[in-house]
Amino acid sequence: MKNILIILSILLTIPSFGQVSFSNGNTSLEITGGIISVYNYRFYDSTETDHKKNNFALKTMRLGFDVRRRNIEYSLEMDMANILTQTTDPSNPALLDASITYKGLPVEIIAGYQKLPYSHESQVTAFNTPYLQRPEMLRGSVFSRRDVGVTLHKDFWQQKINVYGGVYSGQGELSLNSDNDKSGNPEYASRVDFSYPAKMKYREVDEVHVPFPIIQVGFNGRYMKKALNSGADYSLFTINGEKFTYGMDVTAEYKGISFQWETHQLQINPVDRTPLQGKPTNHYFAGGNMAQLSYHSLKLSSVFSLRYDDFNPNDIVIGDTHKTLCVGYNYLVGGSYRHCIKIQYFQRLADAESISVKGDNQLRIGWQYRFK
Amino acid sequence: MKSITIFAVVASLFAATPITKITYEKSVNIPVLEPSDIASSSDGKYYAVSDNGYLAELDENMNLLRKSDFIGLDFEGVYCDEKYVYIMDESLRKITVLDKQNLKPVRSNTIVYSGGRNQGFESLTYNPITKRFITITEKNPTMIVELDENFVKLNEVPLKIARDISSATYHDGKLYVLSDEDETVFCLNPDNYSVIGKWKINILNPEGITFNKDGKMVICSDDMHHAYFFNLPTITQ
Repeated sequence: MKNILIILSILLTIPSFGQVSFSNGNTSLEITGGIISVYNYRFYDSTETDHKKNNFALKTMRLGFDVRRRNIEYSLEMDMANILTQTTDPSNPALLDASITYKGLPVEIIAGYQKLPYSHESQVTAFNTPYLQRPEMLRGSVFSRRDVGVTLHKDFWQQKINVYGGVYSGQGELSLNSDNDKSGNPEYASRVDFSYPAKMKYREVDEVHVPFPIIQVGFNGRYMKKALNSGADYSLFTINGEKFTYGMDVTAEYKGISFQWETHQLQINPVDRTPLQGKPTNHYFAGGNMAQLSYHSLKLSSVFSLRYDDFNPNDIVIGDTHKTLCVGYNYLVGGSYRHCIKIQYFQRLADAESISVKGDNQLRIGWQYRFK
Repeated sequence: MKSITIFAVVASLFAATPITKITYEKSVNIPVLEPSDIASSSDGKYYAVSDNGYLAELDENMNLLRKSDFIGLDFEGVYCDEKYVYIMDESLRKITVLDKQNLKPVRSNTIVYSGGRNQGFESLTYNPITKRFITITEKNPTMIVELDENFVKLNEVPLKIARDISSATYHDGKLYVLSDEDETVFCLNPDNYSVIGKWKINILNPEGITFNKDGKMVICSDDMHHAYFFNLPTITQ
């Protein structure tokens, strides 16, 4: 049934790309959407008998509405695939955006359910990355990528400097499902990025082939003090205690070559001392890195990419770091990410820091179509 | 020898197609936020429009003279004649005519187009021979749209010469169009829109093109907030 839905959805969206915006002379409404369907093949160990992950999947099926009128913007974007499956996984939210932006003051105000201003990679939409899955640390299971709250944004020096700050529920993508935790405390997040010699858009591939090198450096920070442990994979999403998260990202692009590097660290002061493993300390660290190099070939209408990422959920546990090397290839049908085929190969790495390899090597092949 | 041949073949697959590059004589700052198109006036002034929905009048050195009180959503095209300034609001699909004397709106008309909001009309110019306005959709698809002097749509012509078109201007009997993503200027035959010349300009995010009273080609960059002055390229094709 799901596969039929995927095929039907793709067939329905392809001829509809022209009918996407309307204007009454004062207000503009834009309808956006897109689909990514994926086949996932895992290279299971010969002793493994459960091969259930080898399957087709509807990674995303989005429908969005953007309204603009003078200084007000309204955005609504849903992932129909996650609505249909009624998922409660914060890394696969059903609602992607439901926010109002006011631009009539010196500081831009964004209120509602929105992306948090944290991490360059997190700002890039799934349609515009060379890969079908984000790095482990940035998938949304370690810290939230979206939440309900208020963001203030101000840019300086012809948009080369951006400063963001906001306060949110702290419940992340789960904020729509329930009240706040019993502490009632919010989460605070901020980001400052600096680009030179021109402003840089949040993107991972230099499709434009910028004629001179452009670099952006971003600094990110967030803080919460909650009374709830939550998180599907790592129990790091919210902490019964204090959680400081801070990170840095660097992005550069030049003539089709683009490079991203990010590092993030969580300092966790838990009320429950179990994760401290009996050590004489009141905190532990989690964190990781990602580095990605991509090349966009105009002539081949293709993107070639190489990515390394690692993540350590608890620095007190020896050999618990997860490391992955990914190779990505995209064929851009018509020359843009509007319509493309994506291939991603995951090679799990093992060494002294990562004695237990998380997951299997796998191959994903995806087909995406976006109308906007 | 074989390996050299293989390397040459692979290198040619990745290399860009050769195209004549031209370099600018000088550049000056434009005091306009995200300038998205520029038009020159016979009195030496310039009119530049902003992504933030306002019009600026500039002197011949690109100093700000005045701003319009008239505000829109996302101005992406501008053209001027002796009496009026014509502005294209890409988001609202609306052409507004402003009186040059006071920069107040005189009339406006909406051009229905249901493509992507940021992929609509990004250019506006006028062909005095056919007495038609010309506007071009940016991409998906790129389409030349001819309008009569009351902005009524008369003709549509698909244009498949670049990944996008960000501006157009009519000069000396030819139509010049600018591609932002390809950083290229195309010279078209205004009768059938065939390409008769093209030049790579190596400017980041070029969004506006015009020819000033001295015959210099002026290109404005949105991201760099600069205007770049070129000598008129020679048509070689």
